Amino acid sequence: MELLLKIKNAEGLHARPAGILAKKAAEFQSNIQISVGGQVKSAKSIMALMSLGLKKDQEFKLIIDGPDADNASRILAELVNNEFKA
Amino acid sequence: MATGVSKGIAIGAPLILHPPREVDARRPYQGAAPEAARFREALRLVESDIGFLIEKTLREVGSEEAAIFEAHLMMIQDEEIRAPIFNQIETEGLIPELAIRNAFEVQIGVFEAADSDYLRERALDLRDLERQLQAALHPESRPMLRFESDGILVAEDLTPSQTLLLDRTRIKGIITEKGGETSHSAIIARTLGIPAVTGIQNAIESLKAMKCIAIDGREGSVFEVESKHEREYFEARMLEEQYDLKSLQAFIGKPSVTHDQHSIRLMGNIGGIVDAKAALESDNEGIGLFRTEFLFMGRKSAPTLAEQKKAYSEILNFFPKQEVVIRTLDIGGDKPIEYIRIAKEENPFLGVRAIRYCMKDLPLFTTQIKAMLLANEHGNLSIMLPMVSRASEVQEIRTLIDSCHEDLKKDSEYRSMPYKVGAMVEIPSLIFEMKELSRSASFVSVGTNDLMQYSFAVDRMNPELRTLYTPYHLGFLRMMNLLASSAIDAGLSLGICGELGGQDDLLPLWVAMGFDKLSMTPSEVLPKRRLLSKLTLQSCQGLLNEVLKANHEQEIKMILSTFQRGLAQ
Repeated sequence: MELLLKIKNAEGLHARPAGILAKKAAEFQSNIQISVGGQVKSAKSIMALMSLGLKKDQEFKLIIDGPDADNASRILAELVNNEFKA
Repeated sequence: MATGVSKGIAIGAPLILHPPREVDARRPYQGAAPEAARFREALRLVESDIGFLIEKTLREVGSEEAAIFEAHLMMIQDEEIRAPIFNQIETEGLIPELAIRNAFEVQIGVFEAADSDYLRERALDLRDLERQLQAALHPESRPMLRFESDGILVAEDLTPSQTLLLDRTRIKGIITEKGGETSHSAIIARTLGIPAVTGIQNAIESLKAMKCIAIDGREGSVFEVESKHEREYFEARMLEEQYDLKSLQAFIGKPSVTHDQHSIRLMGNIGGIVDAKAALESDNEGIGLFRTEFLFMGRKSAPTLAEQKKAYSEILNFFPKQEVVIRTLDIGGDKPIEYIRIAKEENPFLGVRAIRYCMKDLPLFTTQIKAMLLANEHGNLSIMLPMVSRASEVQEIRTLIDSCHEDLKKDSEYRSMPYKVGAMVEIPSLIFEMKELSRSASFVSVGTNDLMQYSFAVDRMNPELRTLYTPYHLGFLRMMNLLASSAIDAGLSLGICGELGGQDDLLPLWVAMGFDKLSMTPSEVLPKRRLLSKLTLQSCQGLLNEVLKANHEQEIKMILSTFQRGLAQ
């Protein structure tokens, strides 16, 4: 399953939001990856997420594959759209 | 040279803070299992350190500040960094020292190559994490920042980050090998109100085997405590000092006035939020100097408008009804900051520093000014300009500040509040332009350390010239007196924010000269309020007259100390 999302918070994917996203993604069994401009990295890793340097309004894809993919995509999309306010 | 930098007596076991050691790359490999275990143990130690820091920051500062440490914790728990380290240890036969270095170099490389100031900043965090892990591999010589029991900290010197991590509840006193009056350890000790002695050579080596030591922060001395008798002696002296401290508490909430009701404002010198809390606790009447340098140091790009606004707001909101004097960035070629480019100078102390730099980097300067103005919700902001040599500079900067204010007013959400602008007097030439200065400034504050340095042409860090750098100099005191009367004639509010503002023996002279604000280390305010209550304006004026007629430095010192002894009786 692929999700197309956009960063909405002003600071972009800084340490704090990256940490929140990685932590949430790690709660799921599914394999979850993030894809931006040809780079594909683990969305369960704070370092990988940060190193993409995503800024406000930048688009990215989450690729989710596994038994709880439906649930994961719903919750992660909500998290991104709510500007990482858990 | 041993120097007492924070008063008081402390007794306890030495708590040794070992200096970090170099990574030993030649250590023999002991096999996959034991080496992996060493790495796991190091991780555990660092995780627990960061956990401690998170709790402490949550408790003392706030959740947003703690979030950065939470991110650090996640970084060292991240598989992207752990997996390659374990892999190199277990399958490639590398010792953890090298595996950690390799894995971090890769990540640091990624962050540093990024097209983002923010990520380059975070590369520094990674370096710091790597250092912590490397140190944790050698727990026997690790710089321990948390201690099982109370005692006296013995260190080479304290860095700002160590100061942040220190478990302050355990530390009853500080001894350092390096540093002096204005070192980080001295400032932190005075802020915490614990005794400290600096400049003790080989302190770590010579004290580490001792079971119990005592320090006297007034005299600047360290003793080994061996017998019960010795212990009792120091405990008695400590009780005396503590009793003294209790009597000080009675001055909380009282006005700062002389016996005959002549009032002076006693304010705090601070470098950040921790000091601001100390200032509030010791009933400081506002902040007379907030040094903004710490906000700019140890990073790869300047703090943003939002970051600065937040930092200034915190302090301004602590004292909503009292003046908070924020000094604009005071840096120069001697304190290198990566993103501030000052060409190498022969004499950085006479070079492009403080406002001289700021006026060359207007984006940086106006960001700082706007952040201050935006944070000024209570109208208690005073902006202070360092390193001013002539009134025309203040005129020019005043115009810049006012235009920033006008700029901000275009946004309907900006709440326009009153603010003051003033200058530091550090350069003698300014003393003769007080009238001109008063057209664009409403206050002056004397930076006594630099004023002495520039008046005597003496580098205050040069031990060879120590005897030339002294306030007990007739010419210097006459200059202060002239400065005071010229400022008062020009209608300027007049203060001191340098070290001399907090010195007991000189206080009566400042009162007599007509200073109306003295700003000092926060913990010095109550002792000064007590001292003030024993003075009268007349006795101070008498003392000043006597001093200005003295023949030499020794005589000045003697007159001042005789006066203090008279008060104690």
